[in-house]
Amino acid sequence: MTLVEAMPQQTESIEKEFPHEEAVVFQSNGETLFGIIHTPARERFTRRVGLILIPAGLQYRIGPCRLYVNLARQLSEEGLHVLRFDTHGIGDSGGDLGEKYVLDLWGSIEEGLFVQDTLAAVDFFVRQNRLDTVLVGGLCGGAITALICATRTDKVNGLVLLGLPILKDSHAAQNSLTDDMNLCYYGREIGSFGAWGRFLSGRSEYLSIFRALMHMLRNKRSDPLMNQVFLTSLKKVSGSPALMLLIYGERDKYRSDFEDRFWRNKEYRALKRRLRPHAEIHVVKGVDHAFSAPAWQIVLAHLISEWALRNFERPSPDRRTNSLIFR
Amino acid sequence: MNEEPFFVRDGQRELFAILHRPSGAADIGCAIVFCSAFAGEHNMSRRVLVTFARLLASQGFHVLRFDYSGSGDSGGDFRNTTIETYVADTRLAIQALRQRAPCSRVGLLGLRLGSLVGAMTCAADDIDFLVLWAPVVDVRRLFDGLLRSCLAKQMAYEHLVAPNRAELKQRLLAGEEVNMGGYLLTGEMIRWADSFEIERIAKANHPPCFVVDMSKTEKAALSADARLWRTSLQHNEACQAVAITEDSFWQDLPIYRQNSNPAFQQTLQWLRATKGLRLNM
Repeated sequence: MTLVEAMPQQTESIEKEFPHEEAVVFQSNGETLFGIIHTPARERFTRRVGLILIPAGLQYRIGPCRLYVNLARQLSEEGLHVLRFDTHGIGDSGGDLGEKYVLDLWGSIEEGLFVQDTLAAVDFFVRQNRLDTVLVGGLCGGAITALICATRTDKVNGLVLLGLPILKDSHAAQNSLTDDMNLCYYGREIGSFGAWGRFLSGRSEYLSIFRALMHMLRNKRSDPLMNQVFLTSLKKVSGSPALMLLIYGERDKYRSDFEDRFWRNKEYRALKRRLRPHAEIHVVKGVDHAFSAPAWQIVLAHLISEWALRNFERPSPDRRTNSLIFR
Repeated sequence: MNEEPFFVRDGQRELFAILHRPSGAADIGCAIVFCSAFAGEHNMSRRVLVTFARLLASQGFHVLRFDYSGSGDSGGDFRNTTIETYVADTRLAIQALRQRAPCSRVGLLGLRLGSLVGAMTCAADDIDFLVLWAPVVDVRRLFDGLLRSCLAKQMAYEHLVAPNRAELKQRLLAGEEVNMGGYLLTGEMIRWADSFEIERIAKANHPPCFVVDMSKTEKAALSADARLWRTSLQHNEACQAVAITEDSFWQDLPIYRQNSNPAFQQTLQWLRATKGLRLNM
């Protein structure tokens, strides 16, 4: 994992002369999805490399803090083709997500709600821009969607994961935490006569005990909030040829989740070893979850284009991601 | 869906727009241009406006949605935008609409700060009616609220010891930029907010106007902002105001919002009932 210095806040505009941008629509599961394609004014890569930016949670295609617009414009100037699109029920796309709790929708996204739309976007973008190489990525929910997507198709050559969440985000996850806490509590009480007395005399919370036991039987994981879909997807991707660029802002809460619960956890040592030849991880100093300042977005675009150039311009084993400084 | 996305180009300006054409109902020869909310509020409210645009199209309207310079998919730098540039953007959007969809009547629908933009555009352009959703009058309060929410988020999620609002405003007025949820706010906007007076807009000769005041709690009375609007426009007999119970769908909410049925229904009802508009719906 490398720590990258963010540039100081700079005042010059990152808006350049308007590049080639085109509104497009394509189909996924019977819904019309809407997107914007940024085509480089001049090709700098000898191969056509395209990046698909998947919506961050429920934020539409411009991304939080307009991150995706600025990234796409910057990256297309550096020679990448970029597609920003709205998944079903978001932005200008068709479909209906219903009026549900945002927390529950985030939970569904972390389990693959938008993977089908992303696969459709991959097929469309490859065809539309005649791409040789496809990268998928995004911030937060977009990052986890990209990771899951890479396990469902071999068309994805690389992943650009920004502020990747590794824990579950939903009311169900909160309930799971409650069950886990109850399990700890009842585990401690098991040797108590008083507790057995309450149990036998009908004064216990039987529903809580039952749920805690069921939780124990169902779930022998050490970290109840860890998103299992993240772990299984990461395992699959680590065995595939797809490369991975993972970037966190230093001030991002998800960065500490990743470091504390995954990176420093001995349980995942073998998985980390498998990941090393595939993954490059950066933490950008002083930066928040959404890379909200335009100056930070420039740093981010630079990291992405430099990685893409190094790994996909003239692919050869010696140029691939394997020279990382891991903390 | 019969929706046409396009870029409106005019010199240095490049606005992203989507034209919804009538679908499922006969063309009634009327178009509505949406003046969206400001900065982050624009992002949060987008889906509700998309849903309403589709509903209007199904009733025979043309609807044009566009992004102000420096916002959404449009070009430009947010830091160079002011309320005057928003008005100029709106006029350019209206011009693009008239070229693409010749309609005998054109109205504006403004949400939050977009209400002011709409009202100011009316003074300069030939507009047949104005619909104002949750209109802002006290612009200083709007900016104070945006700064407060930005500081609260930084303190809650990132545990940053942030300066207070007054300090931030001082910095802005001294020429610094403040990152307001990804939008770099400048002193220009704050100076404009401090000097803004609703009366200046009210002097303009407004077309028929419908104010939809939105409040989280059920109440019969209008909010202070909506009352000010009504008072300011009282010389206009065709001005009506209603209070509805509705969450602030332009802000972070626990529920994902895609529509606002009370606002949709009240607005459609007003459009149908206002005789001066002569809409055959």
